[in-house]
Amino acid sequence: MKRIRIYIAPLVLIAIWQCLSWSGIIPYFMLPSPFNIIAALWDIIFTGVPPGHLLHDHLLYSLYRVLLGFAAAVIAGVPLGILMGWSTRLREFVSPLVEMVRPIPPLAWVPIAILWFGIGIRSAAFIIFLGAFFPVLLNTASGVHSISPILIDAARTLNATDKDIFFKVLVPGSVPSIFTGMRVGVGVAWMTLVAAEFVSVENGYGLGYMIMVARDIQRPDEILAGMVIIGLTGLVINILLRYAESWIVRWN
Amino acid sequence: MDVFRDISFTVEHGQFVSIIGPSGCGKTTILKIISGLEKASEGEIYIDDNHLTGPDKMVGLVFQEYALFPWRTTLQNVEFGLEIKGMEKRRRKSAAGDYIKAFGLDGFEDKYPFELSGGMQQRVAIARTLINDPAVLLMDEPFSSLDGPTRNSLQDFLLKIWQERKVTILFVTHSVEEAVYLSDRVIVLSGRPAKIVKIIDLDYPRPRGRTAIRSSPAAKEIFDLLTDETIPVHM
Repeated sequence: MKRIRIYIAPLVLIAIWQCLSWSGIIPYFMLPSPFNIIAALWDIIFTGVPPGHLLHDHLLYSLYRVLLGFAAAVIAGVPLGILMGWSTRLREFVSPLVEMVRPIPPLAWVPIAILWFGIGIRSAAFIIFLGAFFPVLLNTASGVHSISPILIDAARTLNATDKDIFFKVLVPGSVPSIFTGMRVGVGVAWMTLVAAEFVSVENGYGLGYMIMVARDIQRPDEILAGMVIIGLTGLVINILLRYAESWIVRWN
Repeated sequence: MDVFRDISFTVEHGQFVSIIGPSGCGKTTILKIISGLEKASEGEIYIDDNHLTGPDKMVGLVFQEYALFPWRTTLQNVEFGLEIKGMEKRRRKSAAGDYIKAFGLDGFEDKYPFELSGGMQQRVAIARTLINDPAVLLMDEPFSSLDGPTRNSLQDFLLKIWQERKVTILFVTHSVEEAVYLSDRVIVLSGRPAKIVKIIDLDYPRPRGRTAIRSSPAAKEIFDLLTDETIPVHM
């Protein structure tokens, strides 16, 4: 019953939308109807936008860029976050910088990224890195910070050294928060990606790039179809991470 | 402000000594200082001729809240100390296995702490501490969050372990019943700043009857001392 219930609201909404489109209240050029979008999905899968550039290639390039930037964010953010959560001094030292850089939208970095890395995968990955880095860093730090001090005391009385405490208490204890950071981070990365691809694509592939092309050739149905794919992919990534989390963090 | 002053006592090898006092009097702080988790502004601690200056492998501490690592299974919690020492995996697994058996935890080796009852969690915690073979076992109100029957059975279990392994125990509690049932000697503390009010030796033979020991003169004396200390007098 619950399974059915979660589909009711979206289906009703889509039905109303379709009716409004049929009746002409919503014009095609403002918002194509659900059927238009399904037809457009067919186009982008089999014909491609621009022609020959098929959906799965756009998707793979986008995923590749996200993976690169996101992996860099995790590799840098997790260790630094653990250190920040552990050492009050380091936290006091780094926090002002983090809090100043963090509010700058990744997109504001685009000109600098292009200046530093040129147009291409490296600048796209850099922008995605910026989007994902802070959620990963801050969640990891707060995870370490919230590890009960009594566990650290227990480890000390069992003769653990600082190194033992780092690797055997702080790291495993912050895994759930690291996952939270990764899920938030990958969401931001995915959002950032599409925007980054509006401006920094070298090879004509990427979901953001595809949407820009659809805009240029005035195909709102293909724009919407691209948006649907982006949303669904984000959903799938989130579900996969949740699975990984519940598989790795069996103790929580 | 001083948490306590002039607290000095000796525990003999193999003795079971309890510290009892009003809540908030700093009983836990005494254990934290002995275990090296906190530094005393003054004073010294010796085990035989060894001056303790920090966490020491001769001292083990069992916490009221169990303090098990939630991401480790029973087996992994118990073997933690051996892993820290760098013992080879197969040897420490078999050593931890022996403790698990002796502590009645077989079948629960691969369970995480959240899957165990409070009494089992505390047994895992005691095993985790004892596997390091400490000369002195410090226990900070270890049974106070357990229900009555579980607490009784863990008290008996602890006595059995204590007698088998000849370990010295320093046990903090706020329960007179628990102190007189378990201990050879009870140290009664006052409220803050805590001082030693009296040290009472309990020469009752073991095994003791719970009802008999509860109504013993020693129990009454401790109870009266604590009542005096707990009710603040305003002038």
